[in-house]
Amino acid sequence: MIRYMLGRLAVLPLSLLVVSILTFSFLHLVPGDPVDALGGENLSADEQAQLRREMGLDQPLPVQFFYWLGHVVQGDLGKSIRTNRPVLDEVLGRLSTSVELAVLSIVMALFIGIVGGAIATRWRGTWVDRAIMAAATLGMSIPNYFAATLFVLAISLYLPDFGVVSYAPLSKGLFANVKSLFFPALSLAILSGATFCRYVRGATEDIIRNADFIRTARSKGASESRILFRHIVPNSLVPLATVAGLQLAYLIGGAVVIESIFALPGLGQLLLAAIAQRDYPIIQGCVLLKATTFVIINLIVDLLYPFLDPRVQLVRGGK
Amino acid sequence: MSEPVLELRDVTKRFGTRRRPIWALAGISLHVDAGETLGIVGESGSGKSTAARIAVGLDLPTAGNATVMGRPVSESGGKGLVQMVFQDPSASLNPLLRIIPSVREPLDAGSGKTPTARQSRALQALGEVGLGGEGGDRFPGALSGGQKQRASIARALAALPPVIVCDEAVTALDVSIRAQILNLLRGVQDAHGTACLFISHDLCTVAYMSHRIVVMYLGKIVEVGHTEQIFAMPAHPYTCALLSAVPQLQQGRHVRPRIRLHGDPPSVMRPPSGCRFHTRCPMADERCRSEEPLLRQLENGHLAACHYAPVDEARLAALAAARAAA
Amino acid sequence: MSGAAPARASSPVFAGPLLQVQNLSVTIPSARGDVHAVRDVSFAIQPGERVAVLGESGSGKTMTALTLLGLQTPLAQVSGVLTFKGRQFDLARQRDAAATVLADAGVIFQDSLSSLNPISRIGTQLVERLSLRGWKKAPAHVEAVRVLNYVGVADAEARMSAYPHELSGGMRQRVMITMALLAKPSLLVADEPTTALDTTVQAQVIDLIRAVQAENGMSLLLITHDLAMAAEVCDRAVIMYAGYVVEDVTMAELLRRPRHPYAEALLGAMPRLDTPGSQKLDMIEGEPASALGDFDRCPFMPRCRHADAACEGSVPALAVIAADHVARCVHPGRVGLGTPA
Repeated sequence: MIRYMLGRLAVLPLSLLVVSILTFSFLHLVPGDPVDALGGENLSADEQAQLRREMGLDQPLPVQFFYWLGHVVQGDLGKSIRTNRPVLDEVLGRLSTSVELAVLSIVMALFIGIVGGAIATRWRGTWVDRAIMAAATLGMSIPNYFAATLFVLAISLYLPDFGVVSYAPLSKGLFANVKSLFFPALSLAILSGATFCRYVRGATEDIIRNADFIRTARSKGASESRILFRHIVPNSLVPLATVAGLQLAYLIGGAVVIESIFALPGLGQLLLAAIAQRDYPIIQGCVLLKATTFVIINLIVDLLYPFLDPRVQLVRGGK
Repeated sequence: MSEPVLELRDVTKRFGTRRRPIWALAGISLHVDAGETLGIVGESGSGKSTAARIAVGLDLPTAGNATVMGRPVSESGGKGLVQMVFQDPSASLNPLLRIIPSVREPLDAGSGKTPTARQSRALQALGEVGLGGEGGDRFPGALSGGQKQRASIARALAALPPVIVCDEAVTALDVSIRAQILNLLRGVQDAHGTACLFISHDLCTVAYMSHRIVVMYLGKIVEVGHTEQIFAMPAHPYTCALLSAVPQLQQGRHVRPRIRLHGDPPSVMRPPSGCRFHTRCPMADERCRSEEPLLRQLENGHLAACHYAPVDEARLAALAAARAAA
Repeated sequence: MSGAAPARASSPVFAGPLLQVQNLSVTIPSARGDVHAVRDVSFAIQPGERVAVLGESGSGKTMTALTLLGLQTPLAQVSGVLTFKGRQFDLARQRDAAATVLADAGVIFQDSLSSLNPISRIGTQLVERLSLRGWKKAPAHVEAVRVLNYVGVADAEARMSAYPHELSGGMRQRVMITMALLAKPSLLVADEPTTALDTTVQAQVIDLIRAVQAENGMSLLLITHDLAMAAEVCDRAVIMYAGYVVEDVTMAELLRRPRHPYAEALLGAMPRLDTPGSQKLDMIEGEPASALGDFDRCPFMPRCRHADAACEGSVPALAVIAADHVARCVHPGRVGLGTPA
């Protein structure tokens, strides 16, 4: 088991390196640099040049990159050009918000997806099934910022005492935390949940059509509900796990627009601001974090697989 | 004595990793002479399908070699000389190709003939299997299981290979169709003098088709002989058990003494020490557990890999019954 | 096929067959038209009797068994009369009729790997069989282990926590047999129970089914295409073709002299071990009949060596050959002469 995990994590340094190089290259392809962002047009050319020298921006690109890399390897991610605070502090400070949002959103999405899929399966072929699938298609077509804006509107009109405006971190209590994240998470969960719902329904249909063990359960006299909850749904969760894992990893990296609409201090906001300001250290730091998150979450999902499906055995290189 | 058309010499095949090997074949040797049918019989884990794939060149042996007409099967000299008829008629025909192009494929792959000659040979092959006329213009989806298998046979024979391999060719077919296909195979074989390697778990079918039979167990050959020898005087305990397990049409009576094996076939990943069959053999003893028996000649052309071969079926049955009662 | 009048529904002891089905028809609508999977099928199973329903793909044998148990697809339209333990049901109107049979039957399916929930332990699935009948978990567990031992599963207690894929095919089939036996059924239904197994394991499983049936006195309904296996196990054969029953006869008489050309052809087409090589297999020309549409002639006619003009016009009725022998043929007298015993 440990060997398996280490084997999977062995890919991390290489993928981080590649991601950093790519990000670095693309950043420098984009016109403008931190000096311009800091209002450098107001300075004279000499002053700009001097600023750039101080920041080390006049060095050749590979030198800049290896300089940064050298520091990273020692654990120093540099300082934000904008705020002058250590990148690590900035990023980790925002991480918890994004993680809370992502986790809550996925939990909601799984709930919507599994319950919706299960109900549709229970009444498969009837209008209930068709209605739920139509709702899922609708959910997949609604842009999440549209849903978010609608929510903000609805809350301010109909639920003024919900008081959604500001984000409450976990330190202020779980209930306050969840309450402040409820609608943002829901906006994100609509799309994910709709996708999960279709996945689940597809999996259950496949099981009902092809799996003989449903017939065995019937032959034992099990009721339809029991067959659904004990036999069909658990078997349909396996393909869902991969998709849910990917979605979670993606969301932890920061749901930029939603954070913006609901004014949440998450990684998405940080990254967006950093890009506008050409705050290179922050950008590189966020990207490193995102890549690491993806690898770790995928690993966790793969580790979960044997619990969901006992037939799966972990082999180095994948399932 | 002429050279065999197809020969496997000391073939070993390992799957899995070095650390956790699965020895699908642990050193087998067999040969098929021109015009003869060699049957391979065995259960799951015996390695018969692996042997088939190596014979056709779909897999390379880990050690040993497979040759057809003296040339290695997997190389350009030998490729295409051994054709295969697969078990699942639906899976082995490209659903997007009409039958004629499918049947023509081995010819297109390199027979050096002109397109017209190839087309007419393909049509001829289809005619031999009873799919003449408009049968060739259809897609596989429009054909029944039996018809698809006929098409597979036509494809295998199109290039007139010296030897064909049939891997469970009739297992997936209805009983009433099997006889048709078996007789068809025998007919075209006789007509062209094609040698055949016939693999099946069904003893009756193998007996009907083969001149000689090889019995495999867990990656090894345990008995070889002419069909009459194997069925009249089975020498290896496994062969005896296999024969006695086949239901016969005499109601309630068993022509052979009933030899019921105890337990399940052992895993290929952890083959037993000594004689691989000793865990289920009613007459296994200390020697069987420690010393692996080699294939030795009992009489002309009849070989068995057992320390005590030829075994007495009645005694074996008694021992098996005593073991079951214990 | 003898049967006394059904006893009163309320009386616990019944006379006559354990199960009798009359004029069973199952039609499944499909895009290409109605599929008449089962046509006008009638037969009976006496208490303790072993009946084989023989046929190939498209014969309707599996659909018949599934319908008797109520496990057929919900789309199927069923009609006919089912009598079970003296109680009579009109299948067209009483949809729960088959549930009565199911409650007193144990079913063994063909593919044990796909017939068991892959993510649930064996023990859980076995206990479910009993807990659905009101047993508590603990006694159910004990009973499951007991029956597992009885069917020859070594280390039964340990096996209870195994998953289906961890067991061999033979072991899994024993688990299925255990599951069938657990509620002490009056009827054991086995649908191609050995098809997916190795030859030596097949023999073990067949021996087990035979022993279990003999020791417990239940009736056996064996669905199979393997005539030889059916001959070893069963007393009576019901042969089906294209959804019809074409012959209903004792096994001994079937082997001595079949009276339907299809049965005759099947007997001749099976390679046998006692005369290898010298045997010439009798071929049956053509393909098994399709279940689509209706027949205006004998469904076996295109493949029959005894057919003539009299076979056209309508599907033959069941001709009575003897008290317990019927065959759906207009020329039964021509059939079965020269059958090797």
